[in-house]
Amino acid sequence: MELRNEIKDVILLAAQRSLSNTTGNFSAADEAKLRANLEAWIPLYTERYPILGLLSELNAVADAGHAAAVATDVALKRQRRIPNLGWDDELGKFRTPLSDQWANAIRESAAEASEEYFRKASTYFEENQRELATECLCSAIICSIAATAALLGWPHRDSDDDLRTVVALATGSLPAEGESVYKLLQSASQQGQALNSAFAAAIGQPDAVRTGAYQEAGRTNDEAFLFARTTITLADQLSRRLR
Amino acid sequence: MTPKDRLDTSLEFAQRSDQEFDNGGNTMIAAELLWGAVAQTLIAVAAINEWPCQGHSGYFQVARLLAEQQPDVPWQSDIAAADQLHRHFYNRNFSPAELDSRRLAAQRSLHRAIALLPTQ
Repeated sequence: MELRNEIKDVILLAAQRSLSNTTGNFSAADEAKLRANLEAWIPLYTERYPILGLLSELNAVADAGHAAAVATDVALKRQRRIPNLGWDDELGKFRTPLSDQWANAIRESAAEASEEYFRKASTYFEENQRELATECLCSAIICSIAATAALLGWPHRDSDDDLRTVVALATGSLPAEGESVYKLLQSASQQGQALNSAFAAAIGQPDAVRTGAYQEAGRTNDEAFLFARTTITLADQLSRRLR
Repeated sequence: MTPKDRLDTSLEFAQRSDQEFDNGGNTMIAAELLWGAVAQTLIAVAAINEWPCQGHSGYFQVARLLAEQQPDVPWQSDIAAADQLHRHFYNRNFSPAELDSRRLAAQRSLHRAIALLPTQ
């Protein structure tokens, strides 16, 4: 399965942010090389923890000295300063704790990527392209939910993982394979159930717009932003209780 | 149909939906019955309040009016999620987990809307 664009956005922004935080300003040329470097690995990456795995890989490549082929010497030195994350898919956790630097980079990059999608959505609404606008709002949610999942050590590869994350935030733990989501959500808090509703409403909205459900409803943009903002806000609030 | 007729119909649809969902029945039918239950209740609420509720988008307008009355209740997202069950009836486009998620949201809106209706 190809990595989702939203995940790529978070990974690239997090990598740039963390490198910049370590060594100061990151030149446009270095950024471009880093992006090319990461983009080259992304098609090979199909695991369920792409945000964590790719950041780990960034470090591994730097350690192995292969980065010289794709990055400048300066960038290479910067990369070597990144602490080894050691994310282990089998264990489902880091061999060494995730540094505050990386956690902040992931959190901030997700927020930045989300806001960029919100801006694009506004533009599309102004142009009356409501389907594209609502798709952008779904992307904003994906950036946030995937980063939240990554920081809690949960899978975040695809839309199934997004829903599992929402259910886990609502109920306090990841649903087991084959477990009834309906039964789990029945025991969720009101806030958890509200997250589920907002997420479902937002993710399904492009299809609703496409099929004309909102044709004469007006104010689609108000509701689209409401659903997306509510999802991200509630997910953030609920995730703080689990960290 | 009077609001009472619609309430009775809604309760019947909701019960039949549960039977389909819980006994491994046809999820397309289960989804449409539950959406139908929500829709009947919203029409009844609109009638009692003398609100317009015409066409499919009318349900979203009722949801907004309810949200204005009760800003702390997520009427709009619950009803928008419930509405997606209607599309599952046509396209069977949801996985079991996605359907479960919408089912819970639909039932939240259904129970809250029923509570707004007179019982007689």
